[in-house]
Amino acid sequence: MSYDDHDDHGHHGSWAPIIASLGTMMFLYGFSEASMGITAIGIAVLTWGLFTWWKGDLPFDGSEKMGELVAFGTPFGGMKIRKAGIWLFLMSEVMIFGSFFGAYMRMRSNWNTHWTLRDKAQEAIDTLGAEGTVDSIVKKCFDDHHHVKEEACEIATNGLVNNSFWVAADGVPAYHHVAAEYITADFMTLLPGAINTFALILSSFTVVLALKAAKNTDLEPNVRNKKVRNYLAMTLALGTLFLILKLWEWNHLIHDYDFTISTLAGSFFYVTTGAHGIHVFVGLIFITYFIYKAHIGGWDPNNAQSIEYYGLYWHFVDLAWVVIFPAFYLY
Amino acid sequence: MNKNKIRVMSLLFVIFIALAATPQITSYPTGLGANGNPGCTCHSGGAGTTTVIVDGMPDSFTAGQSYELNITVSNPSIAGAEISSNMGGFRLFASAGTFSAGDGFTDLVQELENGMTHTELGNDNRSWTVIWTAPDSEGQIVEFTVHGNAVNGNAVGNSPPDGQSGDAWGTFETSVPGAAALGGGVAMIEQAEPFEVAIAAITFGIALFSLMLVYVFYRNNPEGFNLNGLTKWLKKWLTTTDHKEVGTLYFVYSFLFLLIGGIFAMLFRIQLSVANNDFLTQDQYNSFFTLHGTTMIFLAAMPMIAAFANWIIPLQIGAKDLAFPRVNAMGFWMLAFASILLYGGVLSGEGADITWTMYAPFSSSGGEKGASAGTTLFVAGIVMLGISSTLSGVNFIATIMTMRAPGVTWMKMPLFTWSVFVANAMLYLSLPALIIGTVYLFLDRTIGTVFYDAAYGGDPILWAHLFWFFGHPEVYVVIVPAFGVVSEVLATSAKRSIFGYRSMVYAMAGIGVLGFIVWGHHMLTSGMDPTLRLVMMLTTMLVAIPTGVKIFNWLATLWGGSLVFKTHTLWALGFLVTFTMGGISGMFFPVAGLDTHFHDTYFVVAHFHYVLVGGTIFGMFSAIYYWYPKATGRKLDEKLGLLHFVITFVAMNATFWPMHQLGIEGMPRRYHTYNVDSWTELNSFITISALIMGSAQLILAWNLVRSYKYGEESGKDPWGGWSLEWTTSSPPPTPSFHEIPTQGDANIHHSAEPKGGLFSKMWKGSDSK
Repeated sequence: MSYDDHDDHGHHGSWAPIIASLGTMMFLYGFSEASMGITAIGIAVLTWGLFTWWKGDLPFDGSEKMGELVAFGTPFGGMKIRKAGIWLFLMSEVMIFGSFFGAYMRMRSNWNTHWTLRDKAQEAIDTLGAEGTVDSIVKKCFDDHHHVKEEACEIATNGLVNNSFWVAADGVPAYHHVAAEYITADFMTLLPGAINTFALILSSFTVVLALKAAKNTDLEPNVRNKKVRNYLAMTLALGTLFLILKLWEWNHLIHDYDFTISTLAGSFFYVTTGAHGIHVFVGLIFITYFIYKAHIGGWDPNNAQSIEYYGLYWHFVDLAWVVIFPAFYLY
Repeated sequence: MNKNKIRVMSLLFVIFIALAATPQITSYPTGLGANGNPGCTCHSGGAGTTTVIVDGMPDSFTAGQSYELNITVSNPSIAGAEISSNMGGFRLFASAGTFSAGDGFTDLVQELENGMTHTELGNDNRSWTVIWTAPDSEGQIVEFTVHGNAVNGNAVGNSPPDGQSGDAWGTFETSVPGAAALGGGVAMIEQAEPFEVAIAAITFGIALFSLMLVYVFYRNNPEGFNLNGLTKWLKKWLTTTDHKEVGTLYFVYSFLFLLIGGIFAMLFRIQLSVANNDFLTQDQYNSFFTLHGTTMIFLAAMPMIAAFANWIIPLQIGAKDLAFPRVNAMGFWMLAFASILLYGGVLSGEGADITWTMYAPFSSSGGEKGASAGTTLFVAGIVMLGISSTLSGVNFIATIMTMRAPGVTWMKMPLFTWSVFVANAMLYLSLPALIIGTVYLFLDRTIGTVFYDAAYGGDPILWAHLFWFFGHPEVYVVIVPAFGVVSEVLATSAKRSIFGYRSMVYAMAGIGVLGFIVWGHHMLTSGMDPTLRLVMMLTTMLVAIPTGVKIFNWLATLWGGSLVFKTHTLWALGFLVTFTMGGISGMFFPVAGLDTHFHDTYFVVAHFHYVLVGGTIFGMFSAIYYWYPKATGRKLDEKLGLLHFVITFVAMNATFWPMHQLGIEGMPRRYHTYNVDSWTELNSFITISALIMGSAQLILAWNLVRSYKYGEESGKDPWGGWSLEWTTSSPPPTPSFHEIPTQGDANIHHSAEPKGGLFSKMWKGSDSK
């Protein structure tokens, strides 16, 4: 993402792209090789790259020219170009979360396990001598949610096929225990998720308040920046609360329910909510920078649109959570 | 030394270290704490204090011989003698060879991916015996890693007994060379393998490339040829955010990888030239064709398209630069560093061997039955490529949507701009599926998630869906910009505006939309629902309609024009021929019945090489000859260009046409070798043609280098083009326009052009006076 990208005034190079890319590579390399040292160095280099990027935009003393280009022609005419960029970026983010959801719904609809059940049913016919067709055995032994109907199954196959056959040593667990089972069963697990939902929605609201304050021409510069700082600090606090509660809840699920990434439902749950968590975390990094900018008095109505663009991203993260929460925590 | 010099030097140093380290990279077999493979951190105890001793390790090994290894762990501070159960464990990794249990240890140790570990019963020991059987090839060095821990698992002496006390682990590492590897130089040369050939070729290539860079720097300013000048010059290229310079970086990068990908192709074509050949081992073959496919798509074709998009789009729409210059540079550097990850481990024999489609569950599992260790890095590289393309996709779309100069309305945009717009829209909306798919794959291989592991209810077919949801739009992403180039080139060469401009735009947009609903035709044999198969069949056939519209529009453009045969025109005409043939062979696959026969045969290989080489690459070559004068101010040599075109066109058809027959006869793709003698004849012919085609590209390389200095001066508009890039000087200034220009009307421009006969102006240089 490119906040404060105003390259119109003269041409200048930047070290940030190459450094940040190097950092990304080292991070991924360290992660692949299970080398914490290189991973950490990678993150450090990536951070260095981002700071270099931001440093290009300093100082905020008004001497900088906000030579931000304005779009012309349809469909973004009159809009600042960065705003178009952020919207386009969010479209790809929609596809990112769409992919998470598509994959998750594929699991929940049992499209993926159905064929393994059919495989096992064929095996029951071939090796155990069970009678009937693959379809009839699957139908007799499973309900619509692919729960094994233990007794019905044993009776239907004359005792040949029992529950332990379906959950054979290398076989397929007939049913995925999803996170929602644990979460909805236990109020203390549901609570952090519920609090988190409100925390995120509130934090979106404080971003809007910060934008309003930053755009308010009636305020003295130091009053304005103080207001912006305070509102953004609220967003930061709420976002941090979100992450802490999330980690607490993960910890609870892993240790009290043994719900880990080594199960399919666990893989989906942790990776999807984790990816969302990373989005929140990235947002918090940006907002820390914004608070610093407010702290040194960098905001004025002419550059307040950066808060707006940030807000678009933050609202999206918020919105994604509003969909993730029911799908992964309640369903 | 000033700050910049230190920065340049340290960055270069890191890059060179990374390049040097690349061949040595082998991934930790299953990454970090993967499923069922907790090693010896099972009790999460502290490190360091436990001693691991392995007896019986030979100084060097003989092929196929068995060695008895005794593993002992000891730790004086953790009670041992007084307890009799749950006192220790080990995990052994070896880079080669096979394992079995030692005498009397059958129940105490077990095999695990790439090594051995203790069983539940084996927990009651602190020493174990295993048998290691050396691999068949002596020309290698085998690495051993043994993690061992001593534990007081029953917490004797603790109250209450918590099962967690006194746990510490340690590691033993060694390497054992094979007898041949020990023998030194002569023996190593006898072991010379295609890998070494590849290493030599690539090292030579990179050395030549570096020399060329230094030469170019020298020619730029012979007086300023010193270290200070060099760092300054390098700094400019490492930090540039100008769209033209980033475009040049993209181009040089993609051309380098086009040649490297070609080297891989030629090496495995040699393997395939005769039946039952063993020039390459199976593992080498697998990683070579994996690297060939991935390199050609992601590191050659797409960056070359990005190069022209970078160079030309802002010029064509009359913008001073792209919307987000730094993001643009970031896109390039992400790509550049991703290639280091992709190539990680290739040359040490541990390169990815999962084909460019990376099908799970093979790609998600390691060990003997799974993908090789370098795959983890490869997948990480693909994630990085995803980041790169998303960044540049957003950037191009934002630029085209918001920065068009007056007169460049949606329906007057040059077709190349339209094609890049459609391609990037498809790319950045389909990429997320691939990114998520590869992130799942990466996590499966590293932290032990089970997305694709059927043993845990995971779903390998999910990979195929995610991959092809990206993969099919991706093949249009690489062909649509070639459509754009051909439209520009044919219209300019025919000295008229393109026939049916609107239908061209709608056709491209139609391909862009249809591209998202046809991915299932790659999976017709995967056991998909027959209804869905029918739907995908029909949607796939629909793609032929807009594509056909484009072909006929190009033909109609030629019909009414007065054609000038320049080299770029020849490439565009060649494109029409080969791309149409590739398109026709493509229409066999959506028919599910035929696909069942053709799937995974050489017929598929023939088809997609006709559209990728005969389509994308020919289109890009046309673009090189067409826009090189704009970038450098000098034309490429037309005689060398003609030679390059004739050889490549003939050799390309000779290479890929016979593959149709082999495919129909049933020769499977992706196989290391074949044992049907009657296929040898055609295969040898293909191999020879491929070698000719590969070598012919050196003509282009030579032409590019030579014409930079000695080419004919071109002026602003050497070909009589109409769009805005021809209104600025060659090479253009920075920022690219001093004043935002206004685009005129194509028909008015072309009506002022002198019309010549078909052949009167062949090879005559500039004729648009």
